[in-house]
Amino acid sequence: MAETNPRFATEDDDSFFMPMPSWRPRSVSQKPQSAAPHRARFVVDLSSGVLTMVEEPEALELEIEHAYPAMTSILKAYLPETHGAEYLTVDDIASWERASYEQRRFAASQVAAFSNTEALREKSGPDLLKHLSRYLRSIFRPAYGLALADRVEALSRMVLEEAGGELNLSGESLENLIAFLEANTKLSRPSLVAGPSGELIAIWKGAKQGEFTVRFMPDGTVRYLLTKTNRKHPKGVSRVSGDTTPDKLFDEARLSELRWMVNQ
Amino acid sequence: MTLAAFLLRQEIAETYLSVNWLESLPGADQTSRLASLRVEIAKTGYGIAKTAKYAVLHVGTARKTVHEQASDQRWIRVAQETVGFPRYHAGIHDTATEEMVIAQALVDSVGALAPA
Repeated sequence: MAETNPRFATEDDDSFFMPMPSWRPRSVSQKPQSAAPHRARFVVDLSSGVLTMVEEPEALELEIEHAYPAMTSILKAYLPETHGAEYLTVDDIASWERASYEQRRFAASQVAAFSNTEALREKSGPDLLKHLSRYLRSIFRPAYGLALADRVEALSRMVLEEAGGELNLSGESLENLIAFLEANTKLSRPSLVAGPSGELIAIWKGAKQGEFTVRFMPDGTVRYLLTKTNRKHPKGVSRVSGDTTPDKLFDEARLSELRWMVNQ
Repeated sequence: MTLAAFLLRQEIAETYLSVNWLESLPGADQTSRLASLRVEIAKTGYGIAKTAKYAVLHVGTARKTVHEQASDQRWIRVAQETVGFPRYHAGIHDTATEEMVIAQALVDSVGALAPA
């Protein structure tokens, strides 16, 4: 396919592509085998926000699903920078994705985090757990995404085994956990356990300062328990518990006062 | 051990925590009664994870710990529940309200962990 002029998306377009010549089919995981730049061709469905990268029409289609509600504005912001550039590599796309994701995060902090996972839920259907695990491994903003994905998958296997295949981790619970962690990136990585109904329970422990446990319910609410030392009574313990929603949890539990929960 | 072990299952509207009453099982001491429990559980065919453990609680200690930590200072009930269950089946009641606090109190009252 030989097209020399890239076509840019307009408000009326329902698809966009920027085909580039001289594409050499290869696995995404492999580095380019020669100095010749490898260009990427990608298609975005503006109605759903799904970005699909394809090598060549006849080659294996590599699908990278990233559900961004504001995909249109992201592409329009990015394209003028590359117009006229010689090539666009897979690494370029990856760095562009992170840059555009961070731009959206600064534009609307907590809302953006939640809208990402909500869009993924609408897209994923019954495979929500699988897609969220991929999200943790690829897009999740905190650095511990891979470790968290490993733990989630291990818990999923354990829950399935114990329930004889009749219960798995709740995708809705994981969705809310991810949204909370992305909205509060200064928090350190929590330990995760599974609750009796497949919900995820996140636990932060301070060495001697206390413990914060949050149960992310499948219905979108959270139940939390904060145990901390009582400064006025060295042998005493203060306990605060409550029910709220993930977007209110940080403020209602006053987590900003708990230095042991924050990445140092 | 975390409080997850003492939470009620929401999707089946559980009203009490299922536990096993060791004193109702054959054996002269806790070790032998646990061995009897393992035999009984194996007969049921329940899936038990290889890394699973039993938490052993003393009823009096558990009730006292919950009483001290619950905001309403309640005394939870531990009763045999044998309708439709084996004779060694029992239930810890009154944990739903302030569930996270109660579950943590039960964790704090665990005396020992034994392999399942």
